[in-house]
This record gives sequence, structure tokens and C-alpha cells, in this order.
Amino acid sequence: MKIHTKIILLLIIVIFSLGFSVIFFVKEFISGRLSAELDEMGLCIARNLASNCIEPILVEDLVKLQKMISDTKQLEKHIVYVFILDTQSVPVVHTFGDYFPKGLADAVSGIKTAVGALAPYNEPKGSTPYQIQILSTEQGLIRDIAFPILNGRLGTLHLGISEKYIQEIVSAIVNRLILIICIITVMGIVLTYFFANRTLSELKKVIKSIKKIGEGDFSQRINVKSKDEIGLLAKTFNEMAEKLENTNIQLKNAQTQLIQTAKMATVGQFAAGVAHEINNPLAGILNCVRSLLADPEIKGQKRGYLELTLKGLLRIENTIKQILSFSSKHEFKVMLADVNQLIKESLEFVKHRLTEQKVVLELNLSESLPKILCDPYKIQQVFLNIISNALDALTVGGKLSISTAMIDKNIEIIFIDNGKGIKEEHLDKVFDPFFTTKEVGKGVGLGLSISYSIIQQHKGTISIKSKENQGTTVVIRLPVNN
Amino acid sequence: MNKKLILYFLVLAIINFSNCNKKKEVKNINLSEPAEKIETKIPQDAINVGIGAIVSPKEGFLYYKELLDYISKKISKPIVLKQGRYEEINRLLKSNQIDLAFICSGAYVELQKAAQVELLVAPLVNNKPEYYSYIIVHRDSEIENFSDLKGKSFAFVDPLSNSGYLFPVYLVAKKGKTYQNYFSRTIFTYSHDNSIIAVAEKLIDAAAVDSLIYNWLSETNPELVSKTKIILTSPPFGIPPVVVHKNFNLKKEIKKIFLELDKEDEGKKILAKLRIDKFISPDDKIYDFIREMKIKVNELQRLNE
Repeated sequence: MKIHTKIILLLIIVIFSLGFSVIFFVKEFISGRLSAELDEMGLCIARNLASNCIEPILVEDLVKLQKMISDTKQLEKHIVYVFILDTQSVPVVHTFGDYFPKGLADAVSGIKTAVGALAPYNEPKGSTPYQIQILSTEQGLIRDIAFPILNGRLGTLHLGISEKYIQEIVSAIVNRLILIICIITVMGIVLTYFFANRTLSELKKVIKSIKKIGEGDFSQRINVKSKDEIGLLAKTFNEMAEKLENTNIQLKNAQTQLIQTAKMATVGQFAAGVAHEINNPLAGILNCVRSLLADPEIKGQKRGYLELTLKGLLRIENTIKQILSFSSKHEFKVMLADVNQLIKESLEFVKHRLTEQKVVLELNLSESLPKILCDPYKIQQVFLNIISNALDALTVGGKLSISTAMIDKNIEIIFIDNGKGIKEEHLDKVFDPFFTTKEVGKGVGLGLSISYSIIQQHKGTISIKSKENQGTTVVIRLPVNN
Repeated sequence: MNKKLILYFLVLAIINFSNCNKKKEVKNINLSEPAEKIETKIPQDAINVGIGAIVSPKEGFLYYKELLDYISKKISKPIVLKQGRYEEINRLLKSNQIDLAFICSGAYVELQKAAQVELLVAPLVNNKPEYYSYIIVHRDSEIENFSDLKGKSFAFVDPLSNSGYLFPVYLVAKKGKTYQNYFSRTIFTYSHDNSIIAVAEKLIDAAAVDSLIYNWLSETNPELVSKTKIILTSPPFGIPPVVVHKNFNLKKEIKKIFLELDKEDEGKKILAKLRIDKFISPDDKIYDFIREMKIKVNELQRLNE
């Protein structure tokens, strides 16, 4: 069921139940009041008539009695009948004309307002025992007032008063009330409809926006001005949408970088294959060159060329071996390694970049460093990552200094560059996986994250300090005793 | 909120139901079917008692009812009461439709001509079988004696009344006038209490009333009587008697009951209420003065005309 319908149904139920309760109460109250008034009026007339008919009864002046009751009946429109019963309950005079109704005779026969001879002679003022009974006749409800004449010693006067008058008034009031309730109901429905419509249209906006977000449109915002719960809902929704949108953007970047990583991994594997393929013919070529050089007849410029070729081939072999060793999958395998040596080997990988970027390299390697137990390939990967990052940050002619020292029982390796530095707001995210400020394709944002986990595996620490446009310092500590 | 709502409707329902229960019982009847004709049963052996309109029918009924109930009980026969003006009661007596009657002395004097009526008993008031006619005016009236009444309005009781008609007419006749030209206006009230009311309420300037009724009312309705004052008291008249038709078979028994009223406690109480000492068997002569007065009035009236 729609909210509209619910609210309107509830409204109708409330108005109707309230309305009809009010009608019931008013009906009861008014008919009660009017009945009491009618009784009062009837009693007043009956009392007068009963008093006035004493004399005609005593002198048996039936004509006068008949005239009196007929006049009374004519004077008051509510009076349906008047009749007088003598002490033997025989009708003396009545206003029915041709006959006295049997039903009425039976209905009033039970009434003894006062027993003739037993009643006191003087009527007590105001406390005459009268009786009122309600008769349902074909002329509607009639209130029959039985009033004793001279305390019942002369009989009883009966006055029939129609309740039609009460019913007319009551039904007029009830009709008017029903009309008012109907008007209120209609007004209520119309007002509720408009109000609910306004509220619900805002709700509908919210629902529409949520649907769109569900379909992937995160730019959805709701424009709701009201300050009620719906306004709050819209505001909360907008905040949620904002966060969703941001997260979505990050997710998209991460996805792009993941693809790049996968690509690079493929390229890496491919490179290993290529290196392997090159390695075999290279061995052949090296053997050939060496065999040629073993010939003493080759002298002068030719020997010089061959020696140069051999030198070049050795360099290629060395590079290929490094690629192969680096790209081959390693188990975490610890061995004693010289940190200084690992730094130097790492620098070999980036030699061409150092020359290309005319980087001023400053090496302060402590001579007294002990060898430590570590996975040299992994440590070298960390160094390469850091040096590579430094080179990315450095401009032409920049300075990179690497120093090692023994501090307490740790080897401390410090990399300092005077490159562009890291923005302050990025500083706490640099170790997050896939966080990168580099252009897509130039980095995947895994380097530092991997480095962090490697150093942690070695129970060491890595920390980065940086100021934008001033440079970055990376400090690695590796424990000696393990 | 729902619970409150339900509670609210529950309370409403309870109130409504409790209201419904208060409704009066309704009898279903049919007005179109005629009832069998029934007549009031009149006891065959009832004694028919008439009361002349000495006082208004209601007062008379209240005045005599206890006495009649007592007699009815004593003689073991129902009594049917008939009230009417003097003339009406006289007619009924003459035609034997009434066995016994309380009538005015004036009416009695009138009746005797027919000779079908016998004097049964008469009450003693203040130990005398006498009463008076009072000429009364309003308490604040400037009228001090009968002569002042010339040109004033006057209320008679009944043309057959002694104290309420014959006596004032006699007074006027003695002055050589008819009441029609002596008084500015006259009315007949047909009961003594009505005449007193007429004077007390200033409907009329003066009236002549029965002293017994006046004294009785001055005790039972002092508020009314105190609005009047007596300017003239007549000479004593024979007191209004109880009469019977001469053929009434129980006249002896009833006479005995009347005469022995003061010998029984219940009878004494009734007599005390009626301000009567006892009933006696009177001498007819006590009414002679009224008879004489009547003759004089007739003579004077004839002369005056």
C-alpha cells in the first residue's frame, strides 16, 4: 500500500470514528435533554389539567371535561392524546373520537398512580407520584404521562406526547453533523494528498538518485530544501554519494595501475625469456671471441677490436645474468651479504640513468660494516626501488648521497636526494599499496609498499622524511644479530 | 501510539455501551384496534349522597369524604357521591335519585314545599345548631358598613343560598331597593369559598358568605381569609342540615350513625376535623326565621318592582 493511501485511510478512520462518537454523544445528550424538557412540559400540562378537571369530574360535567382535554390537545402540537380514567380504570373522556384503543387500555391498565381510598386527602405539593412510559405506536414513539387526579381518588389523567419533535430535532442535528464530518473528511483528504505529495515527491527524488547510484552514476546529488527528516536524509545521502564518488575514483586508478602491474609482470617474464634466449648464443659468441683471441696471430688493431668485442659481450653477459637472477622467482633465502656490495651492485643497474641525468653521486660507505644475514636479492630490490624513486625525483644535475654506518647493533643506510620531494598530504600514504603520484605507465605504486614488507621481514625499519621541493631522506635500519 | 489509539476507542465503546443500557423500556402498542366498551360499575345497593355546592366541589369532596367513608364502612354499603348546585341537588332529591344530602338551609327551606324530604340530622357548632351570614370586604377596603356598599359590586353564592343570597337581598329589600339597582354589579359564584376568593383577589367589592365555611377556611387557608374582613354579621340562622328522601329505607340506621359519631374515637376525630361538636336531631323550627325572611323578601321585592 502506498504511503498516500495509508495516511488517507488512517485519516478517514480517525475522522469517522471521532465524528461518529461525537454524533452518538450529541444524539444521546440532546435527545436526553429534549426528553427531559418534553417530560417537564407534559408534566406541567398534566398537572394543570389534572387540577382543573377535579371540579368537572366531581359534578360529572362530562362536556366540560371533554372540552378541556380537546382544547389541550389542540393547543399543543406535541400532544397526541389526552384521556381520563376513573378509579376503575374506565375511560371517562378521551380524544380518540370513535373508540378508545385497546392497546392503550392494556398499556395503561398496569398503572396505579395512587390507590383511591388509601391515598391521603390533601395532595402533597410538587411530589405527586406520576409515571412516564414510552409507547411505540404506528404514530411513532409516544411518551405517556400518567398523572393522578386528586391523588388518584378521582382517577388518572393520561397525556400522550409525541417524540416526533425530538426525533426531528435530533435527526436535523445529526444530519448537519454528518455533513460537517463529510466536509472535514474531504478537506482532510485533499490537504493530506497535497502535503503527502510534496513530501513524497522529495522522497521520490531520493529514491531516484539512489537508483541512479545503483546503476553506477556516482555524480548524483539531491536538491532538497526542506529541513525535516527528508532534508536530513537527502543531506546524508549527498555525503554518502560524495564519499562513494571519491572511493570510486580511487578504485578506478587502482584498477588502471593493477592492469599496468600485470602488464609489467608479463613484460618481466618475457624479459627473462628473452634474456635466456640471448644467453645461449651469447655463450657461443663469447667462446668464439675467446678462441679468436687465443690465436697469437691476431695482432694489432684486429686484436684490439676483438678485445673490445669481448669486453662488450662480457658486459652484455653480466647484464643478462643480473636480469636473469633478478627476475627469477626467489624463495626467501638468507645468506651472509655485504650491504655495501649490494648498494654498489644496485647502482650498476642504474648507471646509465646516473650519467644521463648527470646526477652527482656521493657515497659514504663505512668500511667496517659486518656482513649480515639477509636475502640479498630482496634487499637489493629495496635499494633499487629507493634509488630509482630518487632518480625519478631528481632533476638534471641533482645530488644523491648514500651512506652506511653502524649504529648500535644496526646497520643504517641513508639515501638523501635533493629532488622535488613528497607533498605533505601524501607522506602518510607512501607505503600504501598502489599509491603513486607518477603518471600511469610509469609506476604502479607497489615499490615502497613491497620495500616496507621486505624490511619488515628482515625485522628492520624503513622511514621517509620529505619536504616538498627540498628533497627526500630514506632511512633503513637492518639489525646485525640475526 | 497504536496502543493509545486502541485504548481510546475502547473507552469510547465502553461509554457508548453503558449509555445504551440506560434507555427506557419501550412498550409496543397498536392504536388502531378499538377496545371493548366498558362502563364504570355502579354498585346496585349504593347509597347516593348529594352535596349542595356550599363550598366548591373539590373542597366539598375533601371536606365530606372522610365522614362519608366512615358511614359507608359502618353501614357496609358503598356510597356514590354527587355534587351540584343547590337546585340540581334539590331536583335529584325530589326525584329520589339521591337518598341523602348535605344541603344549605336556604335550599332546605325551598325543598320542604315538595314534602318529599325529611330533616335527618344537623350539626352543632359551638354547641349551637346555628350559623351566620357574614358580609365581607377586602382587608384594605374603605367600606365599613352595609350602607357603604351602595353602588359597589357584590357576589352572591347561589339563588337558593340563605347566607349567600337571601340575607343580603333581604337587607337591600329593607332599604326599599332591588339588588339590581342597589349594587353596581352582581355575580353568582355558586360556592362560598369562591365568593371569599373573589373578594380576597379584589375581583368584587363585597360578598355574603356562610360563617361555617368562612371560619373553616380561616383555619385551613388563613392566607386567603386574612385578605378579607367582616363588616356585618347576620342574626343566627338554622344550621345547614342533612336531609333524606322520605322513602330512604336506611334513614334510621344512618341517623343513628350520625348521632353516635361523637361516641367513638374515629367519629370524634372526623368531627374534630369538620369543626363540628356533634350531630343532633334538630327541631324544624330553627329554620323558621329563614322562612320568614324569604316571605318578606318576596313581598318587598314585589313592592319595589
